[in-house]
Amino acid sequence: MIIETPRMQRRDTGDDNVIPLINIVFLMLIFFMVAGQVAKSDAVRTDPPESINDTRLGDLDSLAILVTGEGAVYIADRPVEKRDIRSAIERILPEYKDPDTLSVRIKVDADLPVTELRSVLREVRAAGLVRVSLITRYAESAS
Amino acid sequence: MLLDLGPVRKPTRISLTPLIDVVFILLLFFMLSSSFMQWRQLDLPIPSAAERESEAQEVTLVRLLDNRGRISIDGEQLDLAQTERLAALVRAHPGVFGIDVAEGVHTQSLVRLVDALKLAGADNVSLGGVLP
Repeated sequence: MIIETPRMQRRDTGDDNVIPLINIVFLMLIFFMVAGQVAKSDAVRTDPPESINDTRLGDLDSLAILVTGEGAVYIADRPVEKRDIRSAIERILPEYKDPDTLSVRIKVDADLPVTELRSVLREVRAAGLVRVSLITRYAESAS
Repeated sequence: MLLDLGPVRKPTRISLTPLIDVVFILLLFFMLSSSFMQWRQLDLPIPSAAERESEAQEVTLVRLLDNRGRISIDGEQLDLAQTERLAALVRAHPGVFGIDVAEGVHTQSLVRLVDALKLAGADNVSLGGVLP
């Protein structure tokens, strides 16, 4: 007696065992596409302070100033000497459409001494910019 | 008229491997470039002339002494972890809280103090003394 094996059905199943893999990869792809925001990375890594403050970033034109924990200053992703902050801002200002309503976002490392931040802010104010805000990371509860 | 279309070709299965390649590349791109950080902004407004005059009413000075959260309000030293005492002090002092920091205090500590005062119920916290 010859038993007929169902060989014909299993002939072209070469791709079938990768389908669960593709399912997972597609799910991950959709998750990262929907949940993540593609953002331009900064010139230098800073670690802004945590806060319970829940004011979202405004949509207005803004000038980004980075200050690292060592006190190095970057304006619009270019390194700037501390005594040149004011002149650097004044050089950049004409590039913006409406310099009067331009807001400044200062992204400061959490470990920067407040005295350093104060001197940077003083220069920014001296350049005539009024709307200044400090970038913080949102944390659910105060740690 | 009959056209000679040649022998009927058997449909060949499309391999999934190129699809997986492309999907993997897309996945890698989105994994590496997306950020899940939630940024917030803490506004540092310049007090207007009118506000500056009204601030003449009553300013309670809060001095941040070190990075571990020691503060002094009105000559009384306490820790930021003592939330009940802080809330009682905030209730006892209506008006504006002006913040002052000691030398060498980090930005994180300053932000934590502002948070703690807000949680304790203070509505008017002024950073004008620290940040111009």
